[in-house]
Amino acid sequence: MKTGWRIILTIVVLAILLGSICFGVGLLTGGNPDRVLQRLNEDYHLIALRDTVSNTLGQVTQVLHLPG
Amino acid sequence: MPPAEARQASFRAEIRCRGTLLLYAPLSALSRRKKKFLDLTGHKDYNIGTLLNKNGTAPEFPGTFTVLPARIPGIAEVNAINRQQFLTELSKLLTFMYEEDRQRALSMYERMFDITEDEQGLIQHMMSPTRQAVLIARAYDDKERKLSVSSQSRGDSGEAASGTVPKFVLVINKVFDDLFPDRDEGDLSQDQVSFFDLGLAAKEDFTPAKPSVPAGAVLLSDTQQFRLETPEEAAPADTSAEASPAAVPAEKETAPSSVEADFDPESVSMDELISSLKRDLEADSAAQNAAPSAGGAEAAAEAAEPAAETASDETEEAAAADQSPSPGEAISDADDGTLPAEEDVSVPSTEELPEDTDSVLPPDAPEENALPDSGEAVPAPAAPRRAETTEVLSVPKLVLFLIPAIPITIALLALLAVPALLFLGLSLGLIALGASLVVSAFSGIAVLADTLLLIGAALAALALGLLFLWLFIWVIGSGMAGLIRLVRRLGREFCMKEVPAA
Repeated sequence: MKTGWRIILTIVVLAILLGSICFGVGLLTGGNPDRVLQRLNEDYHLIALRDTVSNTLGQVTQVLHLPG
Repeated sequence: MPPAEARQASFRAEIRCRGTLLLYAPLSALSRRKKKFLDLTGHKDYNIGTLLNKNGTAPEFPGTFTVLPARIPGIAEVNAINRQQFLTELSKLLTFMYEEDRQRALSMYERMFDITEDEQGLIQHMMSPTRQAVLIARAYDDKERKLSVSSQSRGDSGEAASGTVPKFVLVINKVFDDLFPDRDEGDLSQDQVSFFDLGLAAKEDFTPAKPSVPAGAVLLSDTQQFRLETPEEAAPADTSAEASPAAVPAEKETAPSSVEADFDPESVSMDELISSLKRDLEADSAAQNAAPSAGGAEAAAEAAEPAAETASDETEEAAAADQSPSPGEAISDADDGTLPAEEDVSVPSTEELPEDTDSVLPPDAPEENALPDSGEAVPAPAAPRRAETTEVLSVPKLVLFLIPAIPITIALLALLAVPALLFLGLSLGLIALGASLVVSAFSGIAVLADTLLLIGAALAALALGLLFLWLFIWVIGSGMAGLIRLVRRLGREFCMKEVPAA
């Protein structure tokens, strides 16, 4: 298990470091997060998904509050 | 014998625990596959407790043991420390004692060597200087000796001033008695100080009992024999009569009953001795961890502590070079003891190695591991003297245990399942998100900077997903399995009862 932890943590740290570098380089070279989100929304309908989740959570909240 | 086999047979390995030879087997069996060797010998791992418990004949020393190389003629080389080496080593180990006491103890051991004809046999019976030092350390009372020594320095007679015979003297006397059972019983009662202690031992030729019996067994049996005789039954000492009339009565008077009540070496059985040694060694280990400086008894054990870490690393290659047939065959090989073994082949050990190569106890190892016919220096193993016990399941206790254990265990497992499932869900979600981001980065994004943004986010998501996945595995593997193991162990401790074997 100790060896496993060591390996996993090494991979995780390296991946996060590499991701941070990529993200930073993307921002420095003119990347635009809004444009990316817009593109992702077109692909995965993120806004609709967010609305669905928020609506569901609201309904759950209402249900939980009804008995009170 | 073919050269290869001869070479195999010329190497054997000793497994020792603090100088005590436990197993003696072909080196090849260890160097090639340590696990295989332990399987051969019936021991599943390198834990010394397991090894000794399964063996059933060796003392239950805690902690480390070592595997040391030995050659067929080399066993004699290993054994063949002489009197001078023994006493020198013992002198080093007894540095925790006051100088007067140390000299006294050493002189008593010198007397033993003076008396005996068979020096090697004597050394084998005493096992090792380390063992003797531990025995003495066990009986050595710093405070008592401080008073005694200070009174001696004021001009009083040592034991006369303190009114007691030092316990370590009694211990050494006991060693003497065990080694020369036919010599002392008629000469010395238990409440007398030995003539040997007084340095009045006659220089007759006495040979210790044959070394074919392990020293522990001899010690026990002689003790039992000795205890059959009461002091009243013992005949008057011839040699004590020859002693100085002033000295001997004084010593007789100074062996009070308080000594017997406080410490009776004759009543110390082998099991008690082993347990006391075990306590000492554990205390030594704890003391060494806590503070480097230590007191009297620790000094002996510290001296016995190994400096053999260096040996283990450099031995792997040399041992690997030693090709052999299967371990079982190698064990059954006869030892011709003729080939020189130039390589200083060692066997890697898994733990620290105590360095005590000066003497060898007769192997308490299984018979197949004992040195065959040519090992003149290693006696045959003796039958175990320890009472064997078996574990019996107590059904009522098992029921009592299961009634609360099952619901509690299930509840705890369910409790552990919640974070496990949470981690699993998070990991799956993050991994899916990372994969989606990667796909998007290379499918619909035309700007390189945006691609880099997506790749960075994907890497972070995948990394976190991996971390949560590992957390899930960890909770399942360590948490739940550990809980089940814990319950099983508790159940075993609660429900199983040790009873003497029929």
